[in-house]
Parts: sequence; structure tokens; C-alpha cells
Amino acid sequence: MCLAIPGKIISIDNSVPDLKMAKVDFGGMMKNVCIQWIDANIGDYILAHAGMAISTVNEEYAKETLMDFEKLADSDE
Amino acid sequence: MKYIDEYRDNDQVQRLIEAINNAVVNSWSIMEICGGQTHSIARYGIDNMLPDKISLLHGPGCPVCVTPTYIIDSAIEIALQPHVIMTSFGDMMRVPGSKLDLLGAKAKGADVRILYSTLDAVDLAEKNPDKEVVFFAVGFETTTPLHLTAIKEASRRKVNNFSIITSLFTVPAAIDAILSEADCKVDGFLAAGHVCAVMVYHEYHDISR
Repeated sequence: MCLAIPGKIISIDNSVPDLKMAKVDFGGMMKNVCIQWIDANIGDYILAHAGMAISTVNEEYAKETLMDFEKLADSDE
Repeated sequence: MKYIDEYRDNDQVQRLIEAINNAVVNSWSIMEICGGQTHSIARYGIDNMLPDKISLLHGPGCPVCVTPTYIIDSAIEIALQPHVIMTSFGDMMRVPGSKLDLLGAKAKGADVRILYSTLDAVDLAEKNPDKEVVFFAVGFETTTPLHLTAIKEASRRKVNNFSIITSLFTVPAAIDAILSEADCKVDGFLAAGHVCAVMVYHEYHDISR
């Protein structure tokens, strides 16, 4: 339960009001995940935690984090 | 971008460790909040890479660790009712109550099942209209929206034999409680990543001040 797992959205089911569900590929294993509380589309990577997506895996943020690491590594402070 | 390889750059890790070594002059006790962080620290040997002056303390961010015994006892008492299917995350099965854990209740004949998601319990209730399906809903800001989504979905589907027993906490309140202890020796916290993914980090500004 504590660990969130990244997966790729294969299809989205909007048929139930206020319960947006997605079929998500976790390295070959398919699971239905609730994506109601995030903004995600087919092809996006999401972090699934106990059957619910808590965040998208965003390339822009990932790059920012890596740049922050770089700044810290070069810091003489 | 591969998202994993980029975070495992050996050269960058060495330079980060060196920067940390240069920055740490005094002793620091840092508490990690999240069970996932504890797992990563142990798995990748991060505690061994850090300077001796940094001590890592394991914090309260694992629902399994902070669910009160009396609530586990209540869940077990409910599970032992003949018309009940008790469900929860796998992590909760071996957490001891005062006499038994949920697996112990199962051994005594209770119908106890491990589910991945609270929404699965709504499906189970729909398929078993003659049973009361109870989900033992534990967790923090991360799982609470899921439990509430399941309640809403049960209501929409008019599933009346689904209920939950809750033991839910917020992380900033847990941090406040630790800091308010007179003998608290924590100098800093590693904020819970998944909780921040849900709640963002604004709640932590006051704590850091």
C-alpha cells in the first residue's frame, strides 16, 4: 500500500459519472486504476497508489528535479 | 527520458555525497516520514553513504505502524461476525491487535480478504448482496480520497451492504505531535513524498518556521 507504482495509461473509461477509470499497463500487467483526481490522457505515465492515480509522471518536473540535484552537487556551501 | 536511469548517475551521486559531507558540520537527526522512504533508504544503502553526523530516524508515515490497537480489535470483532466479509490492504493482515491479527481471525473462520483498492470492495459487495462487506480503511492523505470515492460509488450504485471502518491520519498533525514532545531530538524531516503529491507542500511552511 505504501509504494506507488508508475504505469502507462492504455485506455480511459468515462462511462461512470465522477469516476474516471483507466486501464493502466504496469510493465505488462494490466490493472484498472481510478484517475478521477488527476488530469491525464491516454499515453501518459501515472503513479498509482492503492488503485488510485495520485500524480502524473511529468518529464518537465523530472528534469527540474535533476537540475536541482546538479545544483546541489556543484554547491560548495 | 527514462525516469530511472537519470536518477542513478554514479558520478552525480558521488558529487552529491561530497557536497553533503562538506555541508554537514554539526550532528543532525533527520526523520523520514514515509514507509516508502524507509524502504528506499535501506534498499539502496543510503544510510551508509551519508556522513556519520547524520542520523536517520524512522517516522510515523506507515499506516500499519500508527493504526491504534483498539481499532484493529474492533475490525477483528466485526470480521468474526458470520455475515461479514472483512477486507483491507495486504499490509494490515499481520498487524497485531491485543489478541489476534486479521489472519488469525481468518484462521478462526472469519471471511477476511486482501484487496488492492477500496473500489474493489464495492464490487465485492455488489456480488455478495447477502453479506456485509467491510473495508478496513487505513492510511493518510493518500488513501483517504480513494476511500471516499468508494463510498460515493457505493452510494451511486445503491450498494447498501458496503461499509468502512476508518483509521485515517494527516501527516502535518503527526509531525506537530512529534515536535511537541519535550524530549524531541529531531532536527529535520524528510517530508512524505506521496502525501505531498496529493496535498502539495504548503502545509509544511508553518512547521519549518
